Amino acid sequence: MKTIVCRCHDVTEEDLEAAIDAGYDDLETLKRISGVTTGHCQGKFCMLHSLDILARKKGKKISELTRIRPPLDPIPLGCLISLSKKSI
Amino acid sequence: MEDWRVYKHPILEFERGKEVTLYLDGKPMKAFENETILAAMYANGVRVFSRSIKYHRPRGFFCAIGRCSSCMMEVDGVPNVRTCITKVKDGMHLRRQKTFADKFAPFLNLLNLSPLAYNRMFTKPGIIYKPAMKIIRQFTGQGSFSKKIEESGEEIMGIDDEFSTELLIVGGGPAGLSAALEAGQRCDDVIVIDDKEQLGGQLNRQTHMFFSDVKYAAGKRGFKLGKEMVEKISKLKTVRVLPKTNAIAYYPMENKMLMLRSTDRGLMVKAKKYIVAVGAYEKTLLFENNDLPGIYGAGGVQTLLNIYGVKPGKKGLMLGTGNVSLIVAYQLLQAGIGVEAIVAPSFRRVSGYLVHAAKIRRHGVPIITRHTILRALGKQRVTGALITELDEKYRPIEGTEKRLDCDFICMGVGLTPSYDLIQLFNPKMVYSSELGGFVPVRDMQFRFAENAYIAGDCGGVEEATTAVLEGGLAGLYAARSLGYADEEVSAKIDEYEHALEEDRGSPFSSDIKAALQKITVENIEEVIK
Repeated sequence: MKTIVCRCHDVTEEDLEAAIDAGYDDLETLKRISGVTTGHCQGKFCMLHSLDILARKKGKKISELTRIRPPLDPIPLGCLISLSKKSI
Repeated sequence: MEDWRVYKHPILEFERGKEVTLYLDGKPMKAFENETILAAMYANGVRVFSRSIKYHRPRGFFCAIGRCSSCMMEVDGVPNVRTCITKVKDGMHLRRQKTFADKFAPFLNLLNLSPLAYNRMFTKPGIIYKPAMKIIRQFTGQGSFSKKIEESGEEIMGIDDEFSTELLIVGGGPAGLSAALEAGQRCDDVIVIDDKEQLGGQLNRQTHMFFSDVKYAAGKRGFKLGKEMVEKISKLKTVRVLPKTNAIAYYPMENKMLMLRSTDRGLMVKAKKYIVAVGAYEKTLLFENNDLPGIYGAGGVQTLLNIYGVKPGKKGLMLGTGNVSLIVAYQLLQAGIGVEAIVAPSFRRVSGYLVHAAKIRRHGVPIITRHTILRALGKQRVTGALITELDEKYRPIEGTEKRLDCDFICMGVGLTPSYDLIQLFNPKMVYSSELGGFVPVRDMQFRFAENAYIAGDCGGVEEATTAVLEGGLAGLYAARSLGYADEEVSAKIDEYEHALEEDRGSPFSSDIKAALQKITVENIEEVIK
């Protein structure tokens, strides 16, 4: 029986709580240790939950958002190659 | 094999097109050409699309709008294709993604390692780290590439790889379409992109009438409104529509947006102004087994049922008493699908409109408030749910657990604005629970960055009618700032502003109105870093 926070990387609620207890207590380090928000969907479904868990654990309000980097959706490498050929 | 399609519906008629054949892991399946892969598989009773990466759990679809990525499969040799937004083709070969790592997943499951353990494995002594990583890398990843190299995608009529335009509208939902309509009548060159084949966004799946007395949408069913708008836009020569195109990136320094055609082609656009109308997606709830196939977003069920006419199951459980979940519950009943109950933790009787709640009660569906879901039951798919009563502090009361029988669970617990593309414009992002999540600070003209406007649900979750109005306004504001300002534009802006004010006049919207006021500033230049 598991409570899944991140479907892409199979991160559970307990995983996150354990990681926060171990000292990874902000979203930037939390995502690097657990893989939450870094899956195929790029955190569309786990971002708010992980912020919620962080806020609950640390007794703070939700404020920060992790840095978003392109590409926003998974893309085939061929698409980037076709563009880079043009610019070379 | 059981056919899960709906053939008789009181409101909708489904245009399915010609019959085609798909192959799932080599087995043939009947499908229709207007269906997505997801709809076709659901119609054939397939529920498990893939296995999860670490614990090897079964995965089905959740959102059905190409956001959640849990419906990915290997299609004709290409891994990680989102089956919910990909149309079927005759003779398509589908495979559940399997990798070398999958064989070991059951053993690794038994160890039940936390992510902390994974990160510390084989790091000491330093000498074994590199060779160990080489081996461990073999165990990771989803899907595998085909050995064949794909030809690059088809040319798009009349569009180069790099081009510029006056106004680029991202998103073809109610807000995007309405913006395109208003801007297209005034500007010379407008482009609308959407990641689906059919424009209309949330409107396509809405079969209910809009209540509001705003003259732009009142008394029309959502999907009809969407069709009308798309038709009007197709008559405008100034608007180009690019369906099946994603916005992948935006670089503020170079002022370019990279887009992707579904056939592997990259595009670069440089626009003078952008309107971002990317909408919202569903929130989820955390409970045990919340990833089982059969647990969907309410919008996902709406898409499957109202657009493709495929039943999500036989008997469902609805979570949440907002308007979305009430409407979806009613639509399920309309299509002849049972609804076991509507469960919500709130202490109010219902948080949506009472008209909807009354319709549902007339069908004998109980609305159970002060209860929450504890766990979804079942191994491969949902077979039931365990709910429990809550005390005043929203803690579960022991001994009040109750088992409900259902074969799917629908989460209608609200939407959250899509923030990712917006954030690339470097605005100031603020969290607002009334508006559903992270939203950018904007000025009175919906500007959240120097050259970008926001419209619709992505700026704060409201209804389709407000999205239509906001979209229209954003289109007009953009046209005005592009130099198409005359008295007619100002008059139209006044008309829209008035209509928007009126639409938000009801007591239901007072919280939203206050929240919007908080994030609206006079001068946006001061806020942007």
